[in-house]
Amino acid sequence: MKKNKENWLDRYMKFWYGISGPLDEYRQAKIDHIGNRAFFIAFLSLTTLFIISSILFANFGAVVAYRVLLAESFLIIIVIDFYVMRETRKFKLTENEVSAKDYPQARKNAIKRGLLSGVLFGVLMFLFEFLTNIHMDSFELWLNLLIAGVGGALFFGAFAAAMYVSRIKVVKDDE
Amino acid sequence: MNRVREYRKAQHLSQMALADKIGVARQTINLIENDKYNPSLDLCLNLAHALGTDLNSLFWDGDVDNEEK
Repeated sequence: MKKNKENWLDRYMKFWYGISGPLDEYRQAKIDHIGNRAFFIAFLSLTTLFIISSILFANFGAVVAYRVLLAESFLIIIVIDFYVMRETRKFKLTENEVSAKDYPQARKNAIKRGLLSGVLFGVLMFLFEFLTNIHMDSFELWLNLLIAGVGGALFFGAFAAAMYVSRIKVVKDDE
Repeated sequence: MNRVREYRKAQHLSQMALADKIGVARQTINLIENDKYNPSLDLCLNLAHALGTDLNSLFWDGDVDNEEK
């Protein structure tokens, strides 16, 4: 009677949308709806970005166009992120429903997951800093790497842990 | 209005227990019971099977018979 085992794509989509528990037909329909709209936001934004960057490149050169491209790309990512976060919260897809007796274990798992996310983020920041500052001299480079990696891991880990814990919802037997 | 809640309580099952039994989220069971979500035929059949009843009893009430008369 239970649905088939989730494949890696289902697990990735659950991670991306912040869904805990089974990805049933209701949740699948909602994330399809949200994803569809996010795609159109991205598509229209990127098309506009392409046109603006092309005009800037033709009139002001590559450096200006590249800076605008970077800034707007980042903005598009943030906008889509906020849209998805807002919609998943509206439909309560991110709530991690547990019984009262399971709450302590769920809280422990949420903190662990947050810290793991922090470590992953720290590693990615480390790599990003390394690849974008490779021309720097060694001491300055390593200092930047340390700040980015460790600082990023701590800050993001704490934020992620707090976010996962806030998603835990204790439900009564029949709510 | 369906009778999922009625049959679930008759079986002494919580929403979470029923949800675990058929592999859906508790939220989905709650939405179905409150008529805020129309489940697929597949899910309806799973619900009927889990609650030990049939589709008619779970999702159709007596109004249809009265209208036909």
